[in-house]
Amino acid sequence: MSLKLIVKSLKWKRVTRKYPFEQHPVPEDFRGRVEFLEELCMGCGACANVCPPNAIQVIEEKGTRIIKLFIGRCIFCGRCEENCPMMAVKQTDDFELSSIRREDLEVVLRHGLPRDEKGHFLEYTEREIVEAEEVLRSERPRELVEKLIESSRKCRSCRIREGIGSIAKALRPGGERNE
Amino acid sequence: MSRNLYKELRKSIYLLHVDAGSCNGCDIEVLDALTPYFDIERFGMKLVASPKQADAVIVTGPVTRQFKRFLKRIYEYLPKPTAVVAVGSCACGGGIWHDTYNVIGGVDKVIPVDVYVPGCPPRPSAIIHGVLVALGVIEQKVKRVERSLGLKGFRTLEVRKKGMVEGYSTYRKVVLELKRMIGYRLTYRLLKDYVELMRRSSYRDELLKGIEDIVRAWGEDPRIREALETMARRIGKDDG
Repeated sequence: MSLKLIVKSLKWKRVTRKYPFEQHPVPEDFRGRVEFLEELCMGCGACANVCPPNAIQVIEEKGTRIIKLFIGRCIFCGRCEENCPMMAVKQTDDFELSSIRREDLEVVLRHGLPRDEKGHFLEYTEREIVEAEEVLRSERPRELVEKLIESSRKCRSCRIREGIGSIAKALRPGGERNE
Repeated sequence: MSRNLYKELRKSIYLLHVDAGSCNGCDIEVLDALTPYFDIERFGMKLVASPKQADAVIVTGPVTRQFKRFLKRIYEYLPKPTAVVAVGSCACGGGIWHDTYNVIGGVDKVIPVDVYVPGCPPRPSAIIHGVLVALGVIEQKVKRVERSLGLKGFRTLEVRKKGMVEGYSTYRKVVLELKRMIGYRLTYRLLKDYVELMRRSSYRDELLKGIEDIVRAWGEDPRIREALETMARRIGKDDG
């Protein structure tokens, strides 16, 4: 190293960060690890719908709906945070995500599905029904809301069967339609 | 799998950087870790050109079909014991390319991986952290999260309840318009203030005066002023 260079370098302070031994500050609005706020998440799966690399997936199992995030595939774009209707997704400042095992990078949320009177599972989570009830009550007349909520307490196939049954009843001779 | 490679090898670790079809984002971050700002040579690490000289390998990219056999061959050339660090979302789980036709989708489908470093791209400090975890110098920080959620502990959005203007549709309109104009991060910060203001004020003038307060509180940001005033004009007109 030439003397000239040494003299020049003396003018500057040390720039190297002591990184693993001290924190490396992140800028404002840094997009780090995705975190679900458990008390707000209702398991609607809007985040899975918009996720570009399918890092968030919705897995339907009997009696549960699983929201599964694999951080190893997440590209930290923030679309889940943007689109979550409950603002239940937050991106933290955390960027030290190195992991030895693949399983450690997974976040699994299991949402329980309620049963109807006949013991069939509904296709909504318990939290979704509560949320829908609240939204509807602020907008629609009371009787309609009661009716909707009542029908939401039956499973999908039961609802369809009932609907077909009522149509068939109406079409039968002596039914409402034939009068 | 955690072990101290420093102790096993009793020498400085030489790193090999393999580009398995990445977009060069991660490669630039790997090079960034060599600059004086991060200076990976503090740990005695150095990038080398040949797998035969390397003690650990950094792989970036989702592994294209063309590159699969070369990656296998590189791994065979590496003197053992070695550590494989998959850097970037593509190398960890395929990233945005996970189901593309010409891509294997993840380094761990071809060769055994010691440490996954997610990020798109990961910061240089995250790469340093990953390499040090692979060498067994520091512990990993992330843990698997698994929760069963029921009705217990559920709370609906407070912002909506507190400052309900006129039903859900107005709230929804406010959120969507604000997101469109100033983006979601600023929207989520402002929302509480703005919705509360809408609930409080019954006239347009009152609303505009309140907006002035919010703008002042958020540091006279012209974007916020413009967005909120447009909001007041639009939503105010529709809903009285």
